[in-house]
Amino acid sequence: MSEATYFILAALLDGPLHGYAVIKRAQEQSGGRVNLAVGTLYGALERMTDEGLIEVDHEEVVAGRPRRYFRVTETGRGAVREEAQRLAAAAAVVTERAGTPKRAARGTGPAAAGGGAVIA
Amino acid sequence: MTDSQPPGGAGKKQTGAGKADAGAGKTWTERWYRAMLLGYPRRHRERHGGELLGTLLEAHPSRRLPSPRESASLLDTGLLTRLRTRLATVPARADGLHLGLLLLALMQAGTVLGRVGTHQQPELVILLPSLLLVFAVLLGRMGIGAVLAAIPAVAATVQAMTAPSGLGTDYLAGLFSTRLVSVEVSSTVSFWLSPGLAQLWVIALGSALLAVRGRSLGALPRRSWYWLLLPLAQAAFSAYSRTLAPALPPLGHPSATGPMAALSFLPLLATVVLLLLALRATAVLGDGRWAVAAGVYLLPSVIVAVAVVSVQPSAVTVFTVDLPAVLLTGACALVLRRGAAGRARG
Repeated sequence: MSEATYFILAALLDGPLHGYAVIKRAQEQSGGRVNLAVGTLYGALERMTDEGLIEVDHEEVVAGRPRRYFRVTETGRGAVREEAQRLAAAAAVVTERAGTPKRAARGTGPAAAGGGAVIA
Repeated sequence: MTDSQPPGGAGKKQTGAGKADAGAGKTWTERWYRAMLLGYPRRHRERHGGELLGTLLEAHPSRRLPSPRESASLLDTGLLTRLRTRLATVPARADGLHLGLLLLALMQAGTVLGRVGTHQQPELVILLPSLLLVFAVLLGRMGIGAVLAAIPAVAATVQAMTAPSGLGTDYLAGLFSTRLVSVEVSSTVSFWLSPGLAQLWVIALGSALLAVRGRSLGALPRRSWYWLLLPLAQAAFSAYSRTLAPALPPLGHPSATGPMAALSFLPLLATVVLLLLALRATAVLGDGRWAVAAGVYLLPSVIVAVAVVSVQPSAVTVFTVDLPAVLLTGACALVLRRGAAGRARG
């Protein structure tokens, strides 16, 4: 699963969003790393709809323009959870090593910084 | 304002209050983005164009000039959407072969059209079938296409073989790539050095193959009439080149000075851009059609290159023009293989 797909699905976990809201939410949740262009976002949304990961919840007309709200399907929810577990397992390979009591007792810089990032 | 909406609110509702009417005054930026949307298929544009525009203007409310990143993204996604919606009705190999043959037929038509009115004007037996061929291939009538391609192919081959110089008529000589004629060749292989002839034979044989296999493959799709713009542009380009260099340079002395040199890069540029698009489509969509089409399109160049190398092994300079194209096709094939392997694993 690409990082963009992951953060789009993650953005929709709390409820249906329209295109621009997905861009903003994905940007916030990724710490600014995923900054989707509008064309790219809608391309991904169409593809994910075709794949059954998301679906259109409802449609509104705002300032004369249509606006679709997308929601995550059960398939999409399962896929993003599975990906999160995979990422967590991959992260654990490093974070658990750094967090072992022996090494933490040494108070090395990277271990302390890593711990801080996890807490934050 | 919260972005989340409670689920289950199906249907449309108007919530335009409090928002500036974005549709009232069309800004230059909006018109620019609208033009960028032309890459999308019309139906998709009519359905979702307004929504994309709204999101673009919402995402960049204070921007006075269009964003280059958003523009590039619109063009790229539009094209990929267009390609994705063109679902193959026949196997990818047949579809790619059809598309590759169409490109060759268009190039052939553009070449003959560009020579009309010059001393290299092709005879009617070559001119007429070459033009009609385009329509047959566009409509997917490959049996008729095979016959129409075979007429000029046979006529040109007979001319080449019976001519004392081994080059045939002026038209035929004109089909020889100017970068090849410095190679001294015997008449028996010389006509294989003509990209035009190789093109005609590839179209004839490819069309015949599709016509024979056609019944089991299903009906080939009709292609867009917009393809006709390609040979027209090529003919216009030839005519414009002639106004810069009124007399065509003699064979073996390609004129490559000033504007002509710059112009001579345009077809190469177009080829490379087309092949890059094919690479992108192959990589993103995992669809082999585009790689097959690129391969078929390059086949005549490969035949000519093999002929040149077999005649004069030192003449590998022939690849200077085609090399980027060949490399890109190779890259397409590699990406496709890796993509297929990745999907098989995943």
